[in-house]
Amino acid sequence: MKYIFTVALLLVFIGCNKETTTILEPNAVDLSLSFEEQMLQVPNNTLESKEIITAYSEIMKEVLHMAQDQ
Amino acid sequence: MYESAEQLSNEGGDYVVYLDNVTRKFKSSAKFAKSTSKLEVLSAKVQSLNNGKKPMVFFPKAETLEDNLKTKKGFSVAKELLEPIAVLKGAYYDDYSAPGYTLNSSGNLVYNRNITEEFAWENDVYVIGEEELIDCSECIQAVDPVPNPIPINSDLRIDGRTENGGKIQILDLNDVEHWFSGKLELRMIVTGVKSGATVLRDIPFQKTKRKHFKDKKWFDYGTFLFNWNLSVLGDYNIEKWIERDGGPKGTFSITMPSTAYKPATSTTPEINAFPGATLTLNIQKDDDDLGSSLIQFTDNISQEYPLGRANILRQ
Repeated sequence: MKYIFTVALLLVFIGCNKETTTILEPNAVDLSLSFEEQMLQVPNNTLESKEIITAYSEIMKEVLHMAQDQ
Repeated sequence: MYESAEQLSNEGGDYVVYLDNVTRKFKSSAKFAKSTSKLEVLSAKVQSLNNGKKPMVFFPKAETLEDNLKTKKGFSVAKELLEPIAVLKGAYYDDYSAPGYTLNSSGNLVYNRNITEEFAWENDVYVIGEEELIDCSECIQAVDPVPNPIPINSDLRIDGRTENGGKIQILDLNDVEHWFSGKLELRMIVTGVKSGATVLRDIPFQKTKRKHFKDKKWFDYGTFLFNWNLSVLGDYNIEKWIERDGGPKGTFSITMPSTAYKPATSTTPEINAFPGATLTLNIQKDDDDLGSSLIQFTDNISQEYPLGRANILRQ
């Protein structure tokens, strides 16, 4: 009886463990989404539209280019 | 980039460089010609999409570099450059971290890591976003913490005593001003009774470095408030603090409670009854209300007043 309980408990743990691996961390970025969608998924957000996020993303690229080249 | 940010900080700015200034500064360099011409177009596009608000670049590490340049002999900014990471201002997680992006080999943005305030202060993090529109034409210069605080000889006030204030402790710095918004722009308002309800002091302080408020440190603006003459100013006043963030103009009100007539004693003059009143003051929509507290003449001078999002002291 004791043995059966331990095995059952293990199965429950393994089952839970498998399940939790599919849940994203609270602050994880979903890499399958576009940059705009990634930003809009961040919970505290004042960014108003995809269009402005796209424009800002282009600025980010150029600033990073310049920072790498300095 | 650092030089521009540092120069602006010394002028009372916020280690923030307008994108237009970046393009102006680097336009003549052949190496950056392509990027600067793209940035000119993008800056105009963002302004047209964002009610004329200019895009800016904020470099938090500038504050760390500035401190190191002052304290470490032979310190070189060039040797401190690390892999650049960009953060888009305006989106953050509940722990105040924000997603940071680098460039891949194709020149596209790829998620790198979540950036915390501590990481941003030590690494090459470029925050890109909209400017904060705050009118600081009448701001009072922030000072470094007062090295020798005004000594308090007694815990009790006497009639006519000089009342000083401006000492504040912010309880959750990122809640009040997110790290990607930079320095703090605080405003202190003291309302009292002087031939009716009146604003005794309304002081917008200049931008103040975040390091002065980190880890719930007390910061002392060392501000003279008034000589507390009971017959003129009554026996209480209200102190309110705001963190200014700009936005459309609005108003808020402060209610001054009524008080009864108090006859003279051996140490205090008579104090007239006050029927109570409400004062209306200007605010901007994005400003953060840190709270307010009623301060009475009979309170201990060293009493700490909780405002909700900050604590304050009188001196």
